[in-house]
Amino acid sequence: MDVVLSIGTLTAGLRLALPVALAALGAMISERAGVLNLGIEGLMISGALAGYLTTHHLGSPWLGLLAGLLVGAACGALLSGALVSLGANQIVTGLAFTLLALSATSYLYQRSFSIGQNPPRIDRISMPPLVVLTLVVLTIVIVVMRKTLAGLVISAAGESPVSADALGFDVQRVRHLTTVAGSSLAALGGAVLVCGPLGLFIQNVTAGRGWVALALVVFAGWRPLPCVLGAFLFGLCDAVQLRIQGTSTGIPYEVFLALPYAVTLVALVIRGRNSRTPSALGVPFDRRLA
Amino acid sequence: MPITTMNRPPRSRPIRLAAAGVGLALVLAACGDDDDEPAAEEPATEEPATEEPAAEEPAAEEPAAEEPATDGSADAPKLAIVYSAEWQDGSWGEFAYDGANALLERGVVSDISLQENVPPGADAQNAMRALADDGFNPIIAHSFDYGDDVKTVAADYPETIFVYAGGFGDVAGNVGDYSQPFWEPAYLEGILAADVMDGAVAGAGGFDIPVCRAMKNAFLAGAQTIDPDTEGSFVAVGDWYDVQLAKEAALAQADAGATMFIGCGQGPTFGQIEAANETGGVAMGYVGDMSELGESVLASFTWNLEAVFELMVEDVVAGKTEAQYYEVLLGDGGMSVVISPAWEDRISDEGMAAFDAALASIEDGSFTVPFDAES
Repeated sequence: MDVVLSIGTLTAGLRLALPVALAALGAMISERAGVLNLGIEGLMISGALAGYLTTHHLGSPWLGLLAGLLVGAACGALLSGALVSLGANQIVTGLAFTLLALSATSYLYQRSFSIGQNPPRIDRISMPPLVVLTLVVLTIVIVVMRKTLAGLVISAAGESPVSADALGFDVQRVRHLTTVAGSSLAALGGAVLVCGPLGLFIQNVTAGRGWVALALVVFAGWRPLPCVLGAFLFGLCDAVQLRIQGTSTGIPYEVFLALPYAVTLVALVIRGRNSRTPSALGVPFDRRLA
Repeated sequence: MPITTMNRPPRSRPIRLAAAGVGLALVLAACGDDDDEPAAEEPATEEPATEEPAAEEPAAEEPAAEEPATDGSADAPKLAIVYSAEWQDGSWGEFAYDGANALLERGVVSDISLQENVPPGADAQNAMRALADDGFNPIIAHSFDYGDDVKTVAADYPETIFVYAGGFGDVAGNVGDYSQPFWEPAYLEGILAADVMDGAVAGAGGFDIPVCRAMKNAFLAGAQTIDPDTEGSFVAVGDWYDVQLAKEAALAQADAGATMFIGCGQGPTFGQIEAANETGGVAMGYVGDMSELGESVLASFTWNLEAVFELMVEDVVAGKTEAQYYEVLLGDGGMSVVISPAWEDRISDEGMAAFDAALASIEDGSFTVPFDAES
């Protein structure tokens, strides 16, 4: 049990949390503006591949992170074009993008390395700079959302876009910008995973972390700090269950595997009473109908 | 208030259609290229490769000498494999890809169809039906997860042999199974690991399935021939591809004293190698020489799926419609242990002698590595 209650468990939780925390912040930003971006998993895997290939070819994992950010912005522009400009169904579009991204990254990965060649490991960034990076991003998001006019406008676009529009704010532009910014952060989360703890890429390397991030946004009540704390809680649960499995408890291992999800579900149920769901979440805005 | 793009409704429908068209074209292009990849290898079959195996594997040549259908003519069987991930995984998928291509190059089969990223369920069933309609026989479903799909489709094609990677002798009619006796090389790897390292054994698999448990227990048994006090633990990661979670599992085991890692599944193994690189332990490669993945990789084992698939083809050539449990053990050339070059000089003479003796006893049948999936 000493192994479970150790500093190692906390650091493991932190390593598991960082990519999910960044992705959750990205999802939260766009959802606060009223855009439900279900493409987070696809954005993470896209950022992961961009980070891996860039680091492999240029040798700098920091450039890998930058590449992840830029690829996320490009994908975000594509998504915002469909979600905001075209008013496409946000659930279908997000799911379709994730499916496309999972296939496209597999295809590009295959094209980058031939059969029979072990994909090389890349240089990695140690944890302290990545923790600082995440805290800086968190601080910026908190300040912008709570202390600036931009944050108010973002919230207005998600709560009452008609009112925001009547006050002279360009709801569509706000939603475009938040979707691009949120997508960039989600892709950065994928790049952090590959350029930080792992140093390698395989097919489906994000393994569903994007979906966890989306759940965390609800868990966090669409607030930035709880998003990051929720990611840490989820990572900590995973770290604990892996360590408990190594001890002789006699409990079926499936119970431990379910632990992070069970904790998240319980938290969701408890927090569900105080739902802060943006009123216009998932609803396209059309000035002609306003 | 600036006028936004939303004020141009007449353009939205064509744009949506165009976007859908571009998306569909991208998907089709990607799928098309994937399917084309195996075909790109086919020119190699033009070479007189049928002579090469005679020197390497005389036993495997016997059916070829007897059956004119294996001379590379159009009468030779057509072999198909469906796989749930991508061939280029450096492991499980890649050896199936290589095994099928080797049979094609030798002319044992006249054609191959290798389909990757086929999810179990309706997609897999559709793929296998199409392959059966196109005359492919045998049809190999290269994952444990295809079991139900294979049985469903096989009932409608009684003349075609379907085989899946069950690994526990799940045979009925034209549905066969093929073994993954990875605990045999795991035992040998355990001897090497305990020779170069003190500490405990750490096993990990995507899930807690018998083959994975047996690998860890055989690895531990091999290590205990060198140090009887060696202990071991096993962790189910919960996913076959989550490398980060697997790495954290291995680091947790390392915190508890583990220094010798053996993974079951690609993701768990990659995670263990990364963890061993950081903690100074040794890790074993899984289905494929993974020595390039890190300085911690002491040894790996390769899987001769060419020999396994050839048994299935032999049944088809013989006109059989009853499948069987296809098993090629280590002693029959089904697997081999590859010691990483960086470690060759660091294994003691006593350790190497113990390894050689155990290998010889397995090959001559005087010793059978126990299949222990309980503890």
